[in-house]
Amino acid sequence: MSKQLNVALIGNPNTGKTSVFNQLTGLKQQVGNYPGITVEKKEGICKLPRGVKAHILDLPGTYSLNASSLDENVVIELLLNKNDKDYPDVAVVVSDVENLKRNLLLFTQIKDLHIPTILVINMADRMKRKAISLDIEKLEERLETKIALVSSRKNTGFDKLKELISNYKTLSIEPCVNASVIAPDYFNRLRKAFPKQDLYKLWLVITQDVNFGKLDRNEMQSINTFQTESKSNLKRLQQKETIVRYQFINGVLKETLSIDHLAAKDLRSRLDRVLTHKVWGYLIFFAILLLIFQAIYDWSSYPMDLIDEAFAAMGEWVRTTMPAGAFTNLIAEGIIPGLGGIVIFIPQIAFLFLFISLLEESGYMSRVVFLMDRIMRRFGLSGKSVVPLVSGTACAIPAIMATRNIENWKERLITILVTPFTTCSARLPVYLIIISLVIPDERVLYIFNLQSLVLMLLYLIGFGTAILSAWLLDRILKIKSRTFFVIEMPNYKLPLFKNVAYNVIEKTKSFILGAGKIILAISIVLWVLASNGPGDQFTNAEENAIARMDSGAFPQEELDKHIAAEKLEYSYIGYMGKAIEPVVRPLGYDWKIGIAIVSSFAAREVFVGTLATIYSVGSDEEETIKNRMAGEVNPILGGPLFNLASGISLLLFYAFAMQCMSTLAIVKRETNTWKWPVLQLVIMSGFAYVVALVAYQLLI
Amino acid sequence: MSLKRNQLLTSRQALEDLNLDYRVKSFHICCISFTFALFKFNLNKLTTSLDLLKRGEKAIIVEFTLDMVPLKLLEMGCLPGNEVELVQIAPFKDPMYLNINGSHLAIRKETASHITVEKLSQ
Ligand SMILES: Nc1nc2c(ncn2[C@@H]2O[C@H](COP(=O)(O)OP(=O)(O)OP(=O)(O)O)[C@@H](O)[C@H]2O)c(=O)[nH]1
Ligand SMILES: [Mg+2]
Repeated sequence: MSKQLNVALIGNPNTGKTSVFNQLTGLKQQVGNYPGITVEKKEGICKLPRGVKAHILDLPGTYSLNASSLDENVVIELLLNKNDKDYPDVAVVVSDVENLKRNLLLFTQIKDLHIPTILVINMADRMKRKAISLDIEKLEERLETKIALVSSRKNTGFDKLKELISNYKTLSIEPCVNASVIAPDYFNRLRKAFPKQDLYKLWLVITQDVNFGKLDRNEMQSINTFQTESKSNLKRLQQKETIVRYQFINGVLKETLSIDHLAAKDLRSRLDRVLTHKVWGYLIFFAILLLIFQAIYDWSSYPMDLIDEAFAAMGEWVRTTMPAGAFTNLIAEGIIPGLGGIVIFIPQIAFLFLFISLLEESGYMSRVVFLMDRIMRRFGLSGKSVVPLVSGTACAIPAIMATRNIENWKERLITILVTPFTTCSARLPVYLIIISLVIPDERVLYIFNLQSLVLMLLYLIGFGTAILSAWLLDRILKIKSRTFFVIEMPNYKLPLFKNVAYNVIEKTKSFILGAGKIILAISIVLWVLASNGPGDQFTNAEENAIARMDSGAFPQEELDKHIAAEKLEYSYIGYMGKAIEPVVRPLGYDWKIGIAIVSSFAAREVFVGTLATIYSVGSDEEETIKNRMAGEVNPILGGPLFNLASGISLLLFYAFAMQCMSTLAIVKRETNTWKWPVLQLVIMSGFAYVVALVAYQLLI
Repeated sequence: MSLKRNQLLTSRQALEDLNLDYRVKSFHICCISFTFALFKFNLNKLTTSLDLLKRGEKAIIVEFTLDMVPLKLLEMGCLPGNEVELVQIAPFKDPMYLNINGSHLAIRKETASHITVEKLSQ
């Protein structure tokens, strides 16, 4: 009894597997109206009637058991490997009532593997609107299965589904279509050669091009000798198999399903006429992008100011109410400003996630893929690369994972390599603070805010560089792979508020927590380094400053500032900064910015927090991060340290440099070699340095 | 009209090269232009390749070059005998947004050119 009950959710992309999964397990995995949202296995536990617990597996969508992209492969590998710890005791095939015919193809294939199978017909809430009626009993009989008609949105039908799962032992494991009818002789020979093996499984192994990691190698070898049929012959047989299956499905559905086609003609075609139009389609797409930037810049500035002030006040409060000492200083000067440097960006990041989530949930994303495919192909990318590039504006990590549904390896690799150029939300804090310091807050053409235009320009630079480097890579990389491209265009759906809200909250939370941990650690380390120093220079900083300035001539306030500056200069961090300084000086930065840049190689968003910590060690008053930065003076040239030249140079540096450990780790995982992440790190950062250098030297 | 005359002229020339008797020739010319016209009629009115469809037109899939069409497309319903409608085209007719047998999907023009269809009259 120790073995748990394994349940796998399998089905075509976008049929609502993850929605069903969330309903069964109470988890909140990401749901979206775009085929290919889920790209890896996700696990959860579901309580069944009579105290049984089931281990539920959410899988990427696949159209059939013949994989043509990496995410689909996950499913096939699982189903062909009986020794896998997740090998399902029962397969739950999730289908969409509006696409039942196509969804049943996969169902009949899985039945052929002799796995106990339940059919879930999801989206029951849409049946009325589309005038669909189903004869469930007859369907169950013809398909030799049990059916649960559910709606994940309305949460109906799940009790029956749980009941069916817990009674899985009573399910029939007879196939409903037998693949062997397509070539009886061939299949007979197979059966004789491998009497112990499942026939359909053998057939799948023979016909797949893909590599089956965990399948027994020896077994594979002997099967290979069976590949006497030529490739095109095999494909002909596969076509025949598909036809046979559809014949069966058509026959079944004719008896059990009726759709009023007039009622089905609807919103979709009207919306598509505009949204995928040759001219309007593109205009609308760009208008949406513009709206997003406006929202990020203009609308979120109010909550941001509030947060900024709140953190400044909090630091001040800690300083005045807690007993003075090193610990208070650590909190007031190290941790609070460091965290404030990231919390302040919650409104923007939430806005960004909100828009991306809305684009995905409405079904619009596939239309963008359609509109952009031709253009992207010019640059060696696929229309499907648009999704990583757009969601890369939130974070490169999920974006790189989202490339898994690109069928062509070369297009996929190029997409992975260029995605980090898109302006991710971690760059946003850096951009925003620098823009607000060096770009005047004016209106151009009465409506556009100059600062938000510059921000938009930076996003465009990110996209532009991504696309140009894709073009270069397309020429350089010598990888032969046949292109093909099929994308499903899902129905438009009114985004479900709950899904969108979960999405925004979960993602913002994980962004803040992820960044928060790094920032907390770094700001503590920085604070320790900044408030201690080696040797007499540091300990005597106070006397030295007073002596040098010929006291009395200056007000106390001025004097304090100089003492603090002197201390910082001779602290550990000061020495380290000085060592870096020669490298960053030509770009117009001082050693403090140098430290901030180095620490942001862990993660970009650390930049603002680092500066905030360093600066607050050097001052005593309650001040916002921005005011502190504005007050910094260039030690050599005089004048504000953050001026147009150094500001632009910094912006460009952050636009191009590869400063994210987690992205590098993901690229390594997705490409299976260190070669690509290392190249990314070296080339992107080198390029960033050169561009920043040129920009500063030209502007100064 | 003028097009037909041109065809006639070129075929006449071709026959003159063969040095045939004039009467035989004229009979041949008739035959050739007739078959030509029939062929053209077939080409224009009935069978064509999928990428030549116009927006909003419907057709029945006849056959395709199996090696050039991905299996995934077949599994999504692109099989001989099924109906296909061209819903929308991007600039340069690439990619093409189709409704195949109730499945809405987009494919590239290149793939579409390997699929032969028979147009349905509106
Ligand atoms: N109307 C309606 N929409 C639903 C229902 N279940 C899911 N959806 C929507 O269908 C879309 C796809 O849902 P997902 O759960 O992400 O589908 P999936 O099968 O996991 O998709 P992939 O992971 O991309 O293969 C989302 O927009 C859901 O909101 C339902 O019962 N009714
Ligand atoms: Mg999913």
